[in-house]
Amino acid sequence: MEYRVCCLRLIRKYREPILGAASNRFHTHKRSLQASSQGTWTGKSQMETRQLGNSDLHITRLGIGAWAIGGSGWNGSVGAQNESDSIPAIHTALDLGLNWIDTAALYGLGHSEEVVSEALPGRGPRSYVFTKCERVWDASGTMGACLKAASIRKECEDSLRRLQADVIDLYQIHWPEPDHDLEEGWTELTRLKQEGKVR
Amino acid sequence: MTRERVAKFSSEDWRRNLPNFQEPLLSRNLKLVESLRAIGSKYERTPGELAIAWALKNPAVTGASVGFRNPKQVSGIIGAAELLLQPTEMAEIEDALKHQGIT
Repeated sequence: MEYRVCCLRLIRKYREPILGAASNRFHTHKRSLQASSQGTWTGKSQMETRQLGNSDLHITRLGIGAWAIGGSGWNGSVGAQNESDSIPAIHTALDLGLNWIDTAALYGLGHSEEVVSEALPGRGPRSYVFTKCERVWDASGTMGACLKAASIRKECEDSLRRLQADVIDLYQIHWPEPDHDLEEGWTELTRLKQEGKVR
Repeated sequence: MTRERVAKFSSEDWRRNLPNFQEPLLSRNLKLVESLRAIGSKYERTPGELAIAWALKNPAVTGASVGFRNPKQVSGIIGAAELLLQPTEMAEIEDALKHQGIT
């Protein structure tokens, strides 16, 4: 239903060594990525994975779509949703071996990202988290489209905060609008990647 | 999807306004669900699993993100990951799509 245009490729040229114990989720995450890139994904189930584009991500053929868990109260909702259902649902899918979650800032106007963040700790190797930018909203919840550099940068920081992460595994342009700012948006995504905020 | 579920969409549910969930497309789509159910019954797979497995056969598709609201719904789709449709099933699905005027 959504037109996913952009997949900012998540190639990390230089991996930092993992130092010490995994004291936070970011470290756990990096460790799991290293494992998966070497073809030794250590999830409970061994599901077939495929390389995503020319990135170093190897994703299971099914991923967790996090639209509905954004819940109600926004234009695009697919109905009310209880976190006491959402989190066990995510856990069930991770335990079955799915290794990626596709969310968006838009889903529940930030709520889906918060639920994803809440669901992930303590589930073994952390899954990849994909999210999206460009669909923005104002204080009244009215949605808009923005590909301006400053807006995308702010969106990225907001998503990182909600996800309690230091890096986004795949950052996507939700819809490629407006057309005349597409190049500016892409340029900013490239900067975010260079800065290590996006893989 | 069922007609009952569509009727129960809350007033704010975005899908209410989508043509695919309104007549005449709703009836057409629900017929397709029944076709998928019949094809999937051989493997004890749900219509949803058939639909996802069909999408994954497309060589341009690396992975499919699938939404669910609770653990029970996960059990209704998880089989798609390991369901490799054979040419005969793909042909049956294509026939069902053509029969409903979807190509």
